[in-house]
Amino acid sequence: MLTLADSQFSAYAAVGLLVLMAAGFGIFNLIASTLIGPRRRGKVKEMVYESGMNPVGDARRRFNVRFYVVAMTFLLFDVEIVFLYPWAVNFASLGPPEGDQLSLMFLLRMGFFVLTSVVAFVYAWGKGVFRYD
Amino acid sequence: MISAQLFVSIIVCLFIPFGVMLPACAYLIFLERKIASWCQDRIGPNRVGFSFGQDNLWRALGMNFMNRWSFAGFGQALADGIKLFFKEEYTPPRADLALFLLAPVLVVVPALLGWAVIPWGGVVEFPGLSIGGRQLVEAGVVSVAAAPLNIGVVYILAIGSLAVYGVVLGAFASNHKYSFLGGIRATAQMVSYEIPLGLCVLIAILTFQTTDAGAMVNLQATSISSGGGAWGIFQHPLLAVIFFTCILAECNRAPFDLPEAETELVGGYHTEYSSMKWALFFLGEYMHMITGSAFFAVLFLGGWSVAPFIGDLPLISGGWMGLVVVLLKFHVFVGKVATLLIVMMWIRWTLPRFRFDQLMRLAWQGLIPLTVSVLIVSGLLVYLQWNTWWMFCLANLAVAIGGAALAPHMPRGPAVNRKVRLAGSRFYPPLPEGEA
Repeated sequence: MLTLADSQFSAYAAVGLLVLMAAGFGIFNLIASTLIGPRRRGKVKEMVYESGMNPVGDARRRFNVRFYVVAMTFLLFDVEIVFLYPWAVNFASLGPPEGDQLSLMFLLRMGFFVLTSVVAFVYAWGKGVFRYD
Repeated sequence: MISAQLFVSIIVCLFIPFGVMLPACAYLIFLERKIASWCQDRIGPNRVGFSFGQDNLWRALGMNFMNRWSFAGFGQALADGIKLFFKEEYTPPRADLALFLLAPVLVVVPALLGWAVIPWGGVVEFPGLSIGGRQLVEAGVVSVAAAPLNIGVVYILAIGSLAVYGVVLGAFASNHKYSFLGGIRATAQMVSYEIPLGLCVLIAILTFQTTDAGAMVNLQATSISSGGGAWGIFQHPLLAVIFFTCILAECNRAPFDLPEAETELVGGYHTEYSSMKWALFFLGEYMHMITGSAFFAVLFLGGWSVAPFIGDLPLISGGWMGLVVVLLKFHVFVGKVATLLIVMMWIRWTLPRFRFDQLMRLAWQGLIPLTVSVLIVSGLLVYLQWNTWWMFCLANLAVAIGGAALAPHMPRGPAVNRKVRLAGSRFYPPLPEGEA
């Protein structure tokens, strides 16, 4: 229906141009504000701000393991979703439904693939991974 | 001689960031303050004109009206931007310097990249350009987007999820407890809401059978009678709601603004940032809002098409009328994005903030099971070739009703964080006689 005149190369060239522009914009702002703005130092000014209290300890400390577990569960799901994109593009064009083995097979494979993640999800839910109280 | 697509891409690359995105960000902040003031029954910023305090200069130029007129406060955004350059650029001595400087750039780069595949003006037949008999740009059919990639929506998703790096690096490099707490909250939140977002895009791809953003819009802009689809919001009303919620969470917007909850964490992950470095975080947030709204418009609101179900504007336009049609399409698109942005601001000043456990529960125990159910049901519908728009719509409504019916029967967590009724209040069970 619609044919674009050009190959994909120019499209990625535009992305490259944008990367340069964006990075240049960011770095320009960093340098400009460093050059233009005033700078004063002081002992109290360099103290960590903790709402007026004297700071206790450092910020580099251990934190709750739940965040780590949530990140792992995220990885599981995100990788699964990425693998499903090619399936989603092609699935509808695999053929007519009546008696078509290929289409059914791909539906069942997707179902099994999702099921493996759902099992992990239910296990994580039961273990209380998503409870933050 | 360069190709037509490259020529149009370069024009879009130069025009959208500097002609649309940056001014829009500045004036979105102004608009947000105005909307906040309307919601709170105030007047809001209305004093700052364009005199910038140079009263004598304007008087010497004989333009004294610059001092007297306030231009309805429209100078505010510009004055704020200029002011930020002159603020002190403070780097805390205990911070990790390299990461501390890198983080704002890492926030603004994905924000400026994400919109590249958005088809602002549809497809146009470019007639070519020649000056003085020499042909500079060849003719061809081009897409009015910065980069019409065939993996469009996957690209937006991939670039959008890079934003979390800037936030978490900035928070970690600050070596500050409020920043650190804001950073891990931001990571957990953005990571959690990315899964329903990705699943929504997956189902949209399953429905439209393409990953190209331009092709998706074309499909939604064709009339039903000529084999087109309805707007995504009619095909997947439930997904549209979920997708919008996820965009709010990905942009750290209220009611999901826990990473920068000012009542608990001062400023969240950008507590230690000042001057333009702070402004880059802010710009990143507003650009993500624009990109997210444009993404929503592509998937669910038919991009540049004016009205659903009827193919109103031509898919390919050519000649001088083509330029008019492209401008019309662009303005329709921007109108939809602006409407979504105003809805976002309206939500921010209307709804209270979530608590962190509620936020995580909404993502993992609400949105993800719902989207997975919609995915399985949609796959089944596509297999049976019942993929008309109203079948998808009915499937969405069925999943929504099923979810609402099941929700009260789900296993509940321990009884912490439940409402504790204050003794003596009207929610407290009445005290026995004689004790009151």
